[in-house]
Amino acid sequence: MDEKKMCSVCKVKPATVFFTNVSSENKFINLNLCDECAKAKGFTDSTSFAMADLMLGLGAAQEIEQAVGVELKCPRCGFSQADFKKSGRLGCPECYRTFAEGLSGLLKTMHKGTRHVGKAPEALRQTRDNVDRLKTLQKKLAKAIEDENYESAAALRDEIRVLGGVAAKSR
Amino acid sequence: MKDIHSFLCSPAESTQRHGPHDRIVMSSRVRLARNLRDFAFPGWAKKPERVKVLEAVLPAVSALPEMSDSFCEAMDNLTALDKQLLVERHLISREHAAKNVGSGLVVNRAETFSVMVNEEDHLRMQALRPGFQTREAWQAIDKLDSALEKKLNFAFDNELGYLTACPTNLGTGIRVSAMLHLPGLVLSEQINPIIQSVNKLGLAVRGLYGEGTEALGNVFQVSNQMTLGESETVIVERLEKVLSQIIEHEENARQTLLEKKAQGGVQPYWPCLWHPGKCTQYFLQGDDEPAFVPPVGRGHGIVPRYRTFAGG
Repeated sequence: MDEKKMCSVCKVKPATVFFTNVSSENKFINLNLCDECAKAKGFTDSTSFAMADLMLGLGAAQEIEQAVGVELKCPRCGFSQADFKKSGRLGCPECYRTFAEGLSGLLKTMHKGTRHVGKAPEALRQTRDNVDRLKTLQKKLAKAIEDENYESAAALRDEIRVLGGVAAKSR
Repeated sequence: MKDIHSFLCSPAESTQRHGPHDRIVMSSRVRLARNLRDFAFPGWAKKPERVKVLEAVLPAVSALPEMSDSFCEAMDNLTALDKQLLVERHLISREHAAKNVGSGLVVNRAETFSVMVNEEDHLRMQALRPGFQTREAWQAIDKLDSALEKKLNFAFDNELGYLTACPTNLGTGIRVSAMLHLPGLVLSEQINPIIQSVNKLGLAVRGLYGEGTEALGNVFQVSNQMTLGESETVIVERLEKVLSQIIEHEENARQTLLEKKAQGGVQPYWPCLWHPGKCTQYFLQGDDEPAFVPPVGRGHGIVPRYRTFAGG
């Protein structure tokens, strides 16, 4: 007989509930739960069970674990990766910085992209636009220098200086 | 400010569900998730911190011009029945109904805006419109959000956008959804391939009360799943395109069924649509069934508009 699979959550009891989730990139994520953990995760309660959240939550926690090796804790709110494993939610806005490394892979599979596009609070909008513009200008400048087009490089450099000043002020 | 009972006893005009394509699209909704920069998310925050957030958010929301005539209450002041009614009117989620101290709610009189405080995120604000009006709902909630960001410090990151408790809502924090009544596609057995192709486009199809609920009464909710990497406008437009196609398929399916009926081939479920008095058995299939049978009959001029459906 095959060796019994253990519960992915408590890692103590044998698993009795098995899930396989196929992501949009045809990646298989397997999840095995024991009765108690399935119940604790709300599997038996149709009002609170959110399969996707559970799968994604576990996936991310594993990624975070692999990425850092030791258990990380958010310096601001004390939230740990074990807490993320339990709930699939983060503790505070700062957690996104704390767990950034582990989260990036997860965000890639979960969303269309990993960089926000769209609305920003008005107070930050200008800074955000300026940062984007600066990046574009710097790329153009590098290209102009490479092409030995010093006239447009000088113009670009001046523009970058002005914009850099504005961005620094509004920060 | 209204008290809960006068509010719940007299549903707003907008809940009568007259809107573009209301034969099929019962309502359109856009929800935005927002959090305050300096506080832990509600699921992790301790009670005093949640109360602090509630005390900061409730007055800020109530003071908005859109909310001038509104109902505003802490969740612990509502009874289980009040909460149930609010869930059924899609003004709060079932998760929010389970909340008590430290959570709250603001709903305007017209029931076109509702803001849940300390649900999964500090703010979950939605614009609800009758019929197919996803774009209008987005414009309305965008305006409300812009007014609110002047008073509250939202957690925002240049790379990741609006920061939310669950990474699935990160970025725009937007969930655009429409509630569709699709008996034609269900009866003609076209619904499953349609759900599959909608899923392939990165959209979710769910039951009446969102995630994990059944499609009672042939009512389906279609919504976006991804929130990061695309702008709100792109997300709204994609949903609009998909909805237009579903509407077209449903219209065709209904037309075919009507033609079949004219030829004497009556579907088992179909009599409900023009003999409401005989349809008790269908109405009893689920608690939510009665409300959703008449729109089809009404839409096609089969059942008089205001005739009640519980048999008379």
